[in-house]
Amino acid sequence: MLLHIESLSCRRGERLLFRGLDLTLAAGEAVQVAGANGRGKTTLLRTVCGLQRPETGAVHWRGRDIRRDPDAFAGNCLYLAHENALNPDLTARENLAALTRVMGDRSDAAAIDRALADMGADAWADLPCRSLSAGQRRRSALARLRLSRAPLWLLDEPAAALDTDARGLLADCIGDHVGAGGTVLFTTHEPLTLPGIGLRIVELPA
Amino acid sequence: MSGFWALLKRDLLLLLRQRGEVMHHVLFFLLVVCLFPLGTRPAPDLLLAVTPALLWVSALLSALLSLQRLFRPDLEDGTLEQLLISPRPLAALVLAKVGAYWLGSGLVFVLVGPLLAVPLGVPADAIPVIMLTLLLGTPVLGLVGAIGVALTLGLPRAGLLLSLLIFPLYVPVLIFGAGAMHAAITGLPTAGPLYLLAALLVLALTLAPLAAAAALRISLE
Repeated sequence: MLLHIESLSCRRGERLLFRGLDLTLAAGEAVQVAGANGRGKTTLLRTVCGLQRPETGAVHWRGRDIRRDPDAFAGNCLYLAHENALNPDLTARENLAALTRVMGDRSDAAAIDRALADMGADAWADLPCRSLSAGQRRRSALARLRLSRAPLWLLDEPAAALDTDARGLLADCIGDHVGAGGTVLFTTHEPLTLPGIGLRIVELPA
Repeated sequence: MSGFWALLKRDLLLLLRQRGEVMHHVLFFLLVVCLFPLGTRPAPDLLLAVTPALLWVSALLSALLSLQRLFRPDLEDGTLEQLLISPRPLAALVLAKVGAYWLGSGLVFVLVGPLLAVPLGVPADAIPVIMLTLLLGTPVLGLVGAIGVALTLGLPRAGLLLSLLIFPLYVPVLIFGAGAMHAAITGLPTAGPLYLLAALLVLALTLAPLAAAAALRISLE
């Protein structure tokens, strides 16, 4: 049991989004969080990675509360948010080089080249991100998946703006990670077929 | 420490890409200092008397104008969230960001300060002290400003609140910075105000990154 979410309630502003969520993820497991827009999927992911304080309940990583013991959790999670974390004035390659080094991921030039090629993003890797389309930016950001050393992936709508081809590449990434004993918690509104993985779908409680 | 250097390198690269914006803030500093004498009597003693205040007030206003550059672009493109969950100490990352910001603003003021001071009638032997006060004082503006920007990051129209929040904290820099310049121009000993400025810098260097890091965590919740 890697990640254990215990009777978690989350609030956004004045509104209570969900309460009493219990969820346990083991190594080698992928869980999709389902729910209509505005139900708190993003808030859940932000809470799990420690950006947001839970209203009640707690998130445990390897048996330790991530709010009480943040040092034990730091570096164990890769969070891919709605925004791609790419500065528009830098190229995808420059963005990834800085970001992976700060996050403690694989950051040598060869690894970044390979990761960009894996996502089919090498053709525009040297253009400023400002000039890329939403899908191209998303592909560039997803190259971080291949560079990450974190066992826990939190992916917020990773397939947004992706074409079918790129969705396949993303599914392969998730498949490889889960196959290697990683854990993935993600949300998606796009159809995403993960090859050979038992996918669990969790509905957010009201 | 590798996170610190990686972020510093990234932000310096950004400074290079966004030259126009950097120039804009330096130009503001230059213009305020250049326009001021046109509005006064052409009396050398008058200009000399207001030069310290003029240089420092221009630097403060220019800092206020450019401080939003510190965290807001990173907030908008999602980089800031990544910095918050990175395994590196957030205070060190904040220090890297402020360092890059200072190299693109404060350091430029230090270098152009003499170019502005000489036409205003400042004697040549006071120039090193003028540069030294700017060198000690401008990093404090960035460090203290970082706390203010971090606190107001989640708010709409943060500019007004930011100025109310950080100007009182800038007052000691203004007083001792201008005090040291005055002393240098009139030939008095400058060690006192310079030591106080240095003490302010050490205090800001030690505490401001920690405070700004805590403020960022609150703002992004």
